[in-house]
This record gives sequence, structure tokens and C-alpha cells, in this order.
Amino acid sequence: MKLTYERELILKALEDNLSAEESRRLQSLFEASPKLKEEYNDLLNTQQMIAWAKYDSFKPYFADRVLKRLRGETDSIFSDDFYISLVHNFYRLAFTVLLLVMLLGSYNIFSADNTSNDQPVIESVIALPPMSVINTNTTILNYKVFNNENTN
Amino acid sequence: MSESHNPSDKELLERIRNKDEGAFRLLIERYESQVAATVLGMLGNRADAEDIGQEIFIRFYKSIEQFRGESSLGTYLTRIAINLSLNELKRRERKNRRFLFIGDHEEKEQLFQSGETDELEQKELRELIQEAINKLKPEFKAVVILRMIQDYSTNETAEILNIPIGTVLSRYSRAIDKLKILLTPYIKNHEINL
Repeated sequence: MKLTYERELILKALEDNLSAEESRRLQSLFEASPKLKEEYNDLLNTQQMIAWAKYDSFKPYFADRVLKRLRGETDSIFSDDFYISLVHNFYRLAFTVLLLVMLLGSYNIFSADNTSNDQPVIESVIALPPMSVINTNTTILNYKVFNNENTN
Repeated sequence: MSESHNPSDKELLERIRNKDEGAFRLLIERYESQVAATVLGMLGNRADAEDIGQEIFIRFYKSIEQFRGESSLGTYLTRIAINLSLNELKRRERKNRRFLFIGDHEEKEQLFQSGETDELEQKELRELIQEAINKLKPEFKAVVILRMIQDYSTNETAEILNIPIGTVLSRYSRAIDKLKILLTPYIKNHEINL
């Protein structure tokens, strides 16, 4: 919206920002048009009314509430840091444990009894002794024989 | 000695950078009225307006290193206040689009037209003036707050809002016309202790 020259002068006057020359011009415009002068007075009153109505403070103890909130956020930032650090350390620990388990599994496979070729890999990994139904029966039989011999 | 009782902004900033909570409290107390005038003017005297007021100081504290002193501290805080208030107004507008309540709005409208100004207490009058400001669009409201309430010049207002001077003048002209229409009954009929 393009402002008229009169309007610009009025706005400058409201801001109390007229040069001496502009002030003289506005004065002569007011003399020529009382309506313009009335308009200026209405705008000036409106401006003063708005300025009068301003709120200039929050509720009492505002600074206390800001500081309390800030402390809360700082604590929360600390908690976040702690949580992130905890998660990070957990990942490192989990990786290390996984690596150890893999190493142990590999060791078990390579050190397993090669004579029992039919032993499943998983049993080798967790280092179970070679075991089958026949082997189990043989083991039990041997155990009984051994016990009987000892009893006799 | 007097410096320690009433430290300059520069001293306060230095102390705040060194995590001096007392200095930050002083800064809040020093600029509370300026920030309150902006935020409460933009958003009205509501509980969420104080939240924005708190947010302004907290943001400033957290990003204090970004303040290089190119403008005064008051102007810097006012700029943050205006930006956060405009964001809040946008948020409210979005919310209002979803939940449109018009009852309270209509009641105030009737009050404006009733002409019963002599019976209004000054507190109520203040609320009515705030209601008139609230009728302005956010970009006009920002100009009114900076020019009329904070008493910034047209140039300073343009700088804070990052808009041309001509735009400030144009918005100011339209805003004050609308406010004049809304407030004229009170200007003529009600005595205010100016």
C-alpha cells in the first residue's frame, strides 16, 4: 500500500521524528484541513492508549521459575548424556562378549575329537563330548561292569 | 564498588559465560519488563505466554556464544521474543483451525460495540485493548508492539523484523487505523491515567 505524503508526515509525527521543515509543512496542512488534524489526534490517542495498556512483567518470581526450568533442562541434558554413554558402553561390552564367544567356539571346533566325524558342529562349538545312543549304552554298560568289578 | 551492584550488560554476559547463575538472574530481572511487554503484547496475558517468556531467556542462555553484541542486548532479546511469539501465533492458528471456538470471541466483540465504557475498570479496559491488538494479523501485531509499546523507531523495527522500512510504515498505518476504529469509543468516553 502506497502511503500519501500527508500520511507519511503524520506517521513521522507520531514517531516524533519530523524535521523542522516537515513540521512546518504538517502544521500548514493542519491549518488547511481540520479533518487531517483530527485524524492525527485520533491516531495519537490510539497510540498512547496502546502504550498505556502494555504489560510490563510476568507473574512474580519469574526469574526463579526461569532458573528452575533451566536447572531442570540441564539435569535432563546430563541424564541424556548418561543414557547415551550407558548405551555406548553396552554396545562395546556386547561386541567384546560376542567376539569371545566366537573365539571360544572356534577353539572348540578345532580342538574337538576328530575321530567322531558324525558329531554335529553345534555340539563341537559348545564342546559337548561325542555322544550317540550306542555310545551312551556302551558308556552305561562300562559303568555297570566297572561297578560290579569293584563290588566283587 | 558501584559496578558490582549494578554491572553493565557486558560484565553480566562475561559472568554468565562463566556459568554465574546470579548474573543470569540479574539479566532476567533487568530485561523481564521488555520481554514481557513484547510477549504479552503479542500473545495476550495467558499462561502459555509466560512459557514463551521463559523460553526466550533459556534459549539466550544456551546460545549465549552466538550473541556478538552487534545489537543491544535488549534488541537481541526482543528479536527472539518476536520470533518465538510469531511461531506461537502460527501454532495457535493451526490449532484453532482444528478446534474452532467462537463463543468468547463473540462476547468480546459485543463488549466493544456496547459503549458501556464508563463502567469498565482500567483492568478490563487493558484487556479490551489487548483484545483489539489480538484482532490484528501477526505481522501487523509485531509492528504495533515494537513501535507503540516498545517505542522502537521505524528503522529499528524494520531491522528487528528484517523487513523494509516502507513495509513497516505501511503495516503501521493500517494497524493503527484498525486500532483507532476499535478503540475510538474508549478514547472519547473513558479517562485513562496516561
